[in-house]
Amino acid sequence: MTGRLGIGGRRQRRSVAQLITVRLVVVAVLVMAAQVVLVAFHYGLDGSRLGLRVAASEAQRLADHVAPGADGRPALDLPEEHAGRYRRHPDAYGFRIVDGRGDVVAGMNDGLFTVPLPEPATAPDLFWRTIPGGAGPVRILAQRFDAIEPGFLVCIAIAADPDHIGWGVLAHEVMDHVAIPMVPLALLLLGVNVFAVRRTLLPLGRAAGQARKLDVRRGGLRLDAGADLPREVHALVSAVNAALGRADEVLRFQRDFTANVAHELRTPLAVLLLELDGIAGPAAAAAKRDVQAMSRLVDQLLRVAQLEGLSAEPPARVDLAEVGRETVRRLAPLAVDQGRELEFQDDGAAAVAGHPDAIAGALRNLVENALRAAPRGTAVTVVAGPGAAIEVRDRGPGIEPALRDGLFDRFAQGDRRTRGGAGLGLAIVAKTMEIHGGGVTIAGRPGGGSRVRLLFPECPPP
Amino acid sequence: MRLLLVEDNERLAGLMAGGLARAGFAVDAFGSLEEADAAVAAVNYDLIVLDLGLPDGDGLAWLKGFRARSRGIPVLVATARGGLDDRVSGLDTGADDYLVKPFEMDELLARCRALLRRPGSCLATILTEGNVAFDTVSRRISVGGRAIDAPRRELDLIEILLRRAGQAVTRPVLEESLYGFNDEVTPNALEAHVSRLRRRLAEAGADASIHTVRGVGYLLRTEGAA
Repeated sequence: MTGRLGIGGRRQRRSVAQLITVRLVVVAVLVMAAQVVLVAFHYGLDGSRLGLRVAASEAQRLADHVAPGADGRPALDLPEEHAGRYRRHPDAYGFRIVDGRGDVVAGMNDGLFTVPLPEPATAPDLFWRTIPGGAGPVRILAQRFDAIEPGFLVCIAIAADPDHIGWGVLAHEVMDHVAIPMVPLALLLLGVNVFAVRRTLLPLGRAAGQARKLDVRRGGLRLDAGADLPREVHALVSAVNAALGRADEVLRFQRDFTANVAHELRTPLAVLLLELDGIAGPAAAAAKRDVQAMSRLVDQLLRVAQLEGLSAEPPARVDLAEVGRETVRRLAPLAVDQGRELEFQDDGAAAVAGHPDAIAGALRNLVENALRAAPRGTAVTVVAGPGAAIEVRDRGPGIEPALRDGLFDRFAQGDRRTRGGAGLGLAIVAKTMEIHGGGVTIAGRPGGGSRVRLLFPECPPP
Repeated sequence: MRLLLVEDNERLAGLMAGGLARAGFAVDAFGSLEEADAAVAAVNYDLIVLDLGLPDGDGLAWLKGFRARSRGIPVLVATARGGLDDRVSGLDTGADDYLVKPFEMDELLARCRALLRRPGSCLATILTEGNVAFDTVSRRISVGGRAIDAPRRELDLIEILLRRAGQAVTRPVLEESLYGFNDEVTPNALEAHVSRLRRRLAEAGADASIHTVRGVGYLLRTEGAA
């Protein structure tokens, strides 16, 4: 009966954590890109700076291939893939390696060194010159590697960069100055943000869970506005609670109004009934029956109003056998007056959690209906159990399966011609069972008649 | 029997007083608690019929104060408040019975008689239902004025059923009243007593009979009602 509150359309909604993650990643990527551009721009403005880096890295790589030769002196053992660059581009790259004694250990394309290089003994740690050449500036570098031998020099000349060594160096620069410091920072920020958002939204999820379980008809219910709610969530919870409060007021007004009207009708009905007692004749008897029917209706209206308020009260432990036996005991005189028998049978009924007066009221309605439906001389049996159920069996005409469904709507009646009830009886039964989280089933009986069964959820032992 | 009726609806009070008077009660009807106070101070009533919603206060509050002063007088509350809570609080406060409006004259009279018939009350000597009568002092049954003989258990049985005439009396209640602690009670003992008493009443031409309410107990009721 209760429609689940639909959440948007078919589209999957993204979580706040997801949204924040996406935004933070975009920001991090943008910042990194900006830094890359900055680095590139930095080197682009001053070609000499990148040139120095390129030459220095090349010198380091050559130095890495220097090892003591057969005579114990440092010698260059350059692999082909590295030497190839110098062979392919004799006009672009050149090197010369000079040992501490001033002897040239190795060299290629030596013609590019158009300036005298420093002597090993007096060379500075790093010698760097840019010399204008025919096809552009030639950059010359001489770097000391005292670790190999004091005064050991590796000299590099670069006139152009057809192998794009510069790109690799630039990539290294980007790695060192952008990626390594930025990526951990971005990841840390991301983690902290997602964690903080999740934590902040936790009470919202809790409130949503409560709201989902909320049965507005019960009234008096509120979402938990705990102290740990952030201000924004608290505002929402407060607003929802205020709305629930207004709904409660409407509900209470409706309930009280029904109860008051029914209540006020009782004294005039009593007057009418006693007045009719003093009048003889069939017309008075008919009027009296009408007043009695009206009294029943007023009773039932009051009962409906009471039921509406009942669900807010905590349930008690109800022994179904006890309720069944007491109902039969109370209604037995009515059955005798109407020439029907009323019986009780305990088939091992369980205890249920509920409102004893409401359950007894529902059962009384069913028994009264059954007594009206049952032919004279037959028995109406109340059977408690087995388990959390109680049933009323009669030998009446039965209820057609097609009519059974609408039977529990307010004022609906299976067949108005044969039944003298006020029409609210079965609605009260249905409402009572709804409050108890149970149900009503109607079935036929072999041999004629019907069985109306009230089913309760099992009650855990105390 | 002198009866005090406290009811603020004048027409209802008139009708109730009329019916009660026709049934042989001497009725004083008042419409407020103040008048009721004055009445109970002046007269020793046998029974009070009390409405709860009165113009100068709540009947239940008055009943509480009245019970503190006087225990013995039975009080029947006749009110429009019909919820279970109302009944319980009414009976807890000291009402002896509770009647919800609207009610029929017969019901009101029956309840009044039942209250006066309770042990300790004045109407206790002869219990009747239809043409069946039981004298609680001489312990004799009569049907239509003719005395019939019955053994002690059946006399006890008819007394209990008559005291609660028109109501189903449960088996445990009957067994408890009929048999002492040391009596051996066979499962069929009660049935046997009931069926013998039933036959005895039928043979004597009683118009009240004992109905079985299977699974609950027994019920004494006049035939042909409704």
